[in-house]
Amino acid sequence: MPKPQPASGDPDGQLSYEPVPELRERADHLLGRLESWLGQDRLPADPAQALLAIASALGHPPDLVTRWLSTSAGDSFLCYLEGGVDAALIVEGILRGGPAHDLPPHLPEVHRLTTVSQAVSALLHREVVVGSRRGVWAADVAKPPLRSIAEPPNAAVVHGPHTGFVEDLATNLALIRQFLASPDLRLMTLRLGEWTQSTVTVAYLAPLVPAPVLRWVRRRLRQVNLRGFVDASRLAMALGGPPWLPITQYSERPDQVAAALLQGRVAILVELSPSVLLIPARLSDLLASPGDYYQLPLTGSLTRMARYVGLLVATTLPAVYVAALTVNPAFIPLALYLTTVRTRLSIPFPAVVETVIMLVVVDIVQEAGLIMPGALGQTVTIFGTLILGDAAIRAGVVSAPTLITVTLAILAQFLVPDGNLSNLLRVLRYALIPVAAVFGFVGVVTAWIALLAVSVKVRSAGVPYLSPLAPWRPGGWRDTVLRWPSRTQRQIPKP
Amino acid sequence: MMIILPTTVVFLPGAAFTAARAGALWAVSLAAVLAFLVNAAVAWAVAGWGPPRLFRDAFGQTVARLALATYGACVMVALISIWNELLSFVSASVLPRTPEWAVGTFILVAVIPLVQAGPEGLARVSDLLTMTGLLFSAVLLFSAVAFIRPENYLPWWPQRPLEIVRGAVMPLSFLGESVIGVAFLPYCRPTSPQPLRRAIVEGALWSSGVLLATVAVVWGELGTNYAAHGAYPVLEAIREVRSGEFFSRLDLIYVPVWLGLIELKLGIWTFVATDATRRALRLSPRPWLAFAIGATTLAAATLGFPSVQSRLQFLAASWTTSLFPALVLLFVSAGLLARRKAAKP
Repeated sequence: MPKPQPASGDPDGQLSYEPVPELRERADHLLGRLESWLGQDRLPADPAQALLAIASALGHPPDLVTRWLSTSAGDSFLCYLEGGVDAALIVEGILRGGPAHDLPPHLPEVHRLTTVSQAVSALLHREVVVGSRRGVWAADVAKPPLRSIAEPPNAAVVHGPHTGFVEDLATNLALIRQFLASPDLRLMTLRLGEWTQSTVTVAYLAPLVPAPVLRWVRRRLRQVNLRGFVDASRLAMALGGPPWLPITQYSERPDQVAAALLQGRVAILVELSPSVLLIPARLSDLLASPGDYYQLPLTGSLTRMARYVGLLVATTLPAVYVAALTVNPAFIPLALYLTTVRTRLSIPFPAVVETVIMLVVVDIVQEAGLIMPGALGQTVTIFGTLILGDAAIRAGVVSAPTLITVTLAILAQFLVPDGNLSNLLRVLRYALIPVAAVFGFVGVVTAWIALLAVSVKVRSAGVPYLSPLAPWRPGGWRDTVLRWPSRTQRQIPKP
Repeated sequence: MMIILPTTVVFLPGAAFTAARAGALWAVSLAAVLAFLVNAAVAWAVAGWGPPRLFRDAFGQTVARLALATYGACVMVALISIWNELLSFVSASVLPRTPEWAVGTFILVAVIPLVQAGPEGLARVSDLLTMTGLLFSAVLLFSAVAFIRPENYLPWWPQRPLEIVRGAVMPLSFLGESVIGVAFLPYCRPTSPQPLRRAIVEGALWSSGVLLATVAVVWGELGTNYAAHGAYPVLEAIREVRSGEFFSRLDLIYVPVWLGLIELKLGIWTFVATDATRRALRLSPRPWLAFAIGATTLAAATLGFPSVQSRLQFLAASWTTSLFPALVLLFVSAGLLARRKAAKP
């Protein structure tokens, strides 16, 4: 029988003959959870014991700062997790302003703690815990590391507000309130995520939001059963819906969120996430950009139409190119066809293989450019597109028309402001190519019909995904394909 | 009702010109008037009820199932013609490399989600495609008007007036498609018969208007002889609208919309046939039934009709002269019987 190995990281360096130490840790954790659930983990009256219980529950972390204060009234302790708290406030509010014998301390939002789990939760939420024989108290001294408010780089506008959300929930709510100074703005806060206990706030304008939409959001949030999440996107996925279509919209702009609330939509803000989820999100919402509203209706409409055309071009142009070269040469005008064929004479690959290879190469370059930081990313993109593309054409590996088609499709993809939808277009682009190679133009059209057939059934929070175009709502075109003057516009999604 | 648009715009002008030559426009006008009467009669007879309820009220439980089965069978036979229409159009316009059965099977696989989308989904896809179709039609019609030569309208009357009646028969059978529209009544939201009746008749009137405008433009652009020469004179008329050699195939811009609309029509009729069969056999909704009906009719279309001519003959013999009149009679007689029974104390 092999000799049991000592547990690693043993503080005393002594041999531990406990056969499965991980099991012991798991059992302790479960026991702690059970006691917490039963309310049996009461804080000991002795401050030293209380501090030991709290530190043990946290696993004696190195960032747990503890201080002992000796006064005439007896010993008292103070503890907090280092970083993310306002040290000056602790000094002013507890150490100088309110001595430990004068509990509760002179700090805002002070509340009494009775159990170990409450103390642990308070520490994790950047509160300072102060205890003596008279009791244990927690006070909010949070000062999380924040970046300054700046315009999100992925949703910049020429005109209009240049503010963006940050990783702090309170700041984000304040930004929304700056735009919506209305008493009807309702905020509903809840904690989600078994391990992360993330604060999630649901915001809506009570008189404008349709009741079914609000019911849907509440029901889905209640059903969320996640171990934890570190970003709003995980919550968006947990809300449900088809896995192949985005039914929630992400926004990092407070003006966009305020405008959405005015449309009767619901915003979900997640702690530590600059992305706010907007529900319901129809296709027309995902194709709209805040910048559309900060320009003339005529130019705004032109931009909108360009996006719808971009959606078609990004998905379908390579497929139509393949169909035209392999199955339906009559599609393209004779002069263009002859030019294309002439350039492809020395190309060793068939059109379908050539197009797929080019798409893969461009996607690789795109991903590399995104992952590489700053200037290096730009270098990768320039090298990948200009130098590689030029070399490929000169070497006769790919033809110029193929490169033009692929580049146009990729560029058109960037017209779509929503990141999820934009990535979905990439998938559709790949999916349509084999269909086009086998069935030609008929295949492309038929695939689109099938896609429409499955899309029309999709709903986002009870609102048809393709509305107001399908089902057709008279006047719905005013803020979908076009951007009609806002004087005559009134849009509240109807379930 | 707007879903008959692809047939209306693509297929019917050719049929009207072939049968009536200079009387095509008059034939279509006559068909529009008669179709209005037929649609109004069918819509009045069904009184807001769908086939299951109407047949049950009129014939009783057992015969109602038989009537539903007959209705489903008629629609299935008509489905063969729609497959014919689709495959002919595909062959004529986009020349696929793969054989018809393969194209048809691929289309069938795509049509099944349409059928599964149900009446609501079908209506939504119809909204999208009809709007796109009308938008494209308006642009092309506007361009085509500039290519009209007034001398083409001569002679303005056919040599034999009987040609007008002959040319009106097929458009009438297509414009009177309220016999399909009523199949969706059980799925409509509860409402009074009046709006439903109005919706059916309005749809038919819109289709008639589009057909009349199309025939008038094709006549003015191509003349009667040229228009009667091919099966799809509309495609020829669009090809006339060109801005130099580069845009010589302007019709191809319109082909996707047409193709989509015909596939949607296929989906709608497959849904109707499946629904009627399912109700007649008292089955719960099953996806395989739609696939089976689609595959059967596709097989009949691809194996049974080797040429466009044979397909046209089948269409004239089945839908135009047999199935359509039979369905109109079925609905009107059922409506009369149901009303008579309801009037009895």
